[in-house]
Amino acid sequence: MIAQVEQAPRRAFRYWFDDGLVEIGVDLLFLALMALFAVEGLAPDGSAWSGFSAVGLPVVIIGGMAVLGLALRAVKERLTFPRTGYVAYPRPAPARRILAGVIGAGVSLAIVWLLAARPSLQLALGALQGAALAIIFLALSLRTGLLRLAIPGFVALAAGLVATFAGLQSSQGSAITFGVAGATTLLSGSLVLAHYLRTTAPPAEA
Amino acid sequence: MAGNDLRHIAEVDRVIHEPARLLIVALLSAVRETDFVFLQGQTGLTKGNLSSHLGRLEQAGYLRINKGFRGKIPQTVCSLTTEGRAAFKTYRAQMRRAVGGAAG
Repeated sequence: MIAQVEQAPRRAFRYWFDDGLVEIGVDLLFLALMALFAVEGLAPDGSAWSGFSAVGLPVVIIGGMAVLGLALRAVKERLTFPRTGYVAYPRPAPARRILAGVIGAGVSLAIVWLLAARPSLQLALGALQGAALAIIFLALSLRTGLLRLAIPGFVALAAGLVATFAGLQSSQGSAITFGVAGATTLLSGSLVLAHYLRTTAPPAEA
Repeated sequence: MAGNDLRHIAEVDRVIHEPARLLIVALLSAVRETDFVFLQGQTGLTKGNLSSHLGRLEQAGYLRINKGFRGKIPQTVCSLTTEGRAAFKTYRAQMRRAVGGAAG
């Protein structure tokens, strides 16, 4: 019984992933990143589009996550909450959010500095991004106990390594890494959503 | 030491110690608020049973219950009060001490 009680908070957290909507939302974010890097990779050298990701990346990530949060909530309101219940999670404390922002900015600056100092590393950008995605997805998988969440990360890592060893240009490698990660999360999310809709029923109105 | 640990078991909060209520409180401890449908799905309790346990927790001041509508569907939203969170924290600490002491 103690084990069951200790697992209860994890079950409550895992509930957010029960319907596959988070994966479908994240997939859209990955596909937007793929498009961003593909535009940059296809642009001729010296054109205005060749540095597109430097401006577009923060816009897509910050804006995309904000839109994703709102959209996810709206879809869950209509689809998930009436079927299996409504849950609102506690917001992280302001200090924790600031710390996360500082760490994120620090890591980004370190990567930019490293790439500027050693341009040869740009060729391995796809593999580095794949590794980062693998770590993030693995952490999420361990936290929720959902093995399926680790799969897109490892698939992205494999795609990044293939792109790197194939000697592709950095933006092409990034486009492939995010494209493959997006396709995998879309597939996984769609299968989970289909199963969720099959096994749950909307409630009768009062 | 073992005697002290066993005394902790006798002192645990009996409102929370009941297995179904313990599961409810453990689930609620991880969220800001949730509704009856979620709790019923996660605990597997019948409506009547769940209602009765929620009422007991509310009576003890551990739970806040708001009844309303989500569209045309009635909704009962529950959240732990500050007292409820503190009581659960104390309960866990007591049980850990007791189980740890018994194991050692």
